[in-house]
Amino acid sequence: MHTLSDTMVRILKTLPLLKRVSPESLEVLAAYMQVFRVREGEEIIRWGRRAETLYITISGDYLMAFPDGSAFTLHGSGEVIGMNAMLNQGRYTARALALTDGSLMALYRSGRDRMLEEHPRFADRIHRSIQAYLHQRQAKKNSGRIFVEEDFSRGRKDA
Amino acid sequence: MPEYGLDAIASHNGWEMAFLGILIVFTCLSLLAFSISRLHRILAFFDARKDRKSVKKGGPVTEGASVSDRPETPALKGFAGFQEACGSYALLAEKMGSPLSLPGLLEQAEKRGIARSHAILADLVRTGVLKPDGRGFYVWEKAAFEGLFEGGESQVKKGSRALPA
Repeated sequence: MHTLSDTMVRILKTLPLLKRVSPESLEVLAAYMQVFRVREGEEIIRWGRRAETLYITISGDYLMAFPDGSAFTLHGSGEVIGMNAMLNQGRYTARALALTDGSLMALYRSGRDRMLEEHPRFADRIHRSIQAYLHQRQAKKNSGRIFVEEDFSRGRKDA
Repeated sequence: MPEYGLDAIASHNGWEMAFLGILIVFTCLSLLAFSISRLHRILAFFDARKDRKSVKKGGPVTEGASVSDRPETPALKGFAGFQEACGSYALLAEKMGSPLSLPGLLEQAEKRGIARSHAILADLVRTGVLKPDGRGFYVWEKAAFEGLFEGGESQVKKGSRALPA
C-alpha cells in the first residue's frame, strides 16, 4: 500500500465529517488523494458543474460564493470544498475561488471509484460517516442553525 | 519527348506528392498546436507526480515544510499597494452599502483593477474588516479598518495564518 503523509492524515482527522472513521481508514483515504497547488484568483469549482472532485484545504484562503450573492470564506487547513462529489449529488452548488496561493488535497472521482473497488470496506465506513454527518447538518439546517448546504467545514461559524 | 506543365506533374505523381506534403505539414502543425495547448496539463502532471513522490519519500511531513509549501504570496502588509488597495476596497464597500455581497465586492474590485484584489479581500475578512452578518453577506467594519493601519502589523497578523508570507 502507499506510504502516507502524516500531514494529510492529520488534516483528515480534524474533519468532523470523518470523525467516525478509524485512523486506518483515513490512511486509505489519504492514499487516494492528490495534493496540488492553486494560485491566487484561481477557480476551483463552479456551480452547476458536475461534482466530481472533493477538495480538502491544506493551506490558503478560499471564497465560497453562491448564485444568490451570499458567500463565506475558508482559511487554512482542514476545510472541505465540493462535498457533493462524495455523495453523488450531481452538481456543485457553489463556486470556490482561491483568494491566496494555497494547497489542496483532492479526491477525484476516479480515485474514489478505485478506492471503492480496492477497499470497499473502508470506503463504506467513510461513506457512512459522511452520511451520518450530513444528516446531522441537515437537522441543524432545518432548525435554521446553518445557512448553506455546501458548508461542511470544520469549525464553520454557524450563522 | 519531354513533358511540360500539368501533364508532367500528373504523370510523375506530382499532385499526390503535393497533397501528401500538405497533409504532412498540416498534421504536424495540428499536433504541435495540440501539444502546446496541453502543455500546462503535462507540466501540472509532472509537478503533481513530484509532489506525490516527496510526500511518499519524505517521511513525516511537518506543516511548516509540507509538500504543499511553496513561496506563498508576499506579505501584503509589505506589499507596496496594500494601503491603496484597502482604501479602494473601502470606497467600493461604502458604495455598495451594507450588508454587501463578497463576490460582488470582489468583482467590482477586479473591474477597477485593484492590485492583488483576491489576497487583499482575504486579509480584510481575516482581520475582521469585513465581518459576516450571519446570512452569507458581509458588513464593513470601519473601526477595524482604521485599526488596520493604526495598529500596524499586529492587527494585520491577527488571523490564524499571518499574512501570506
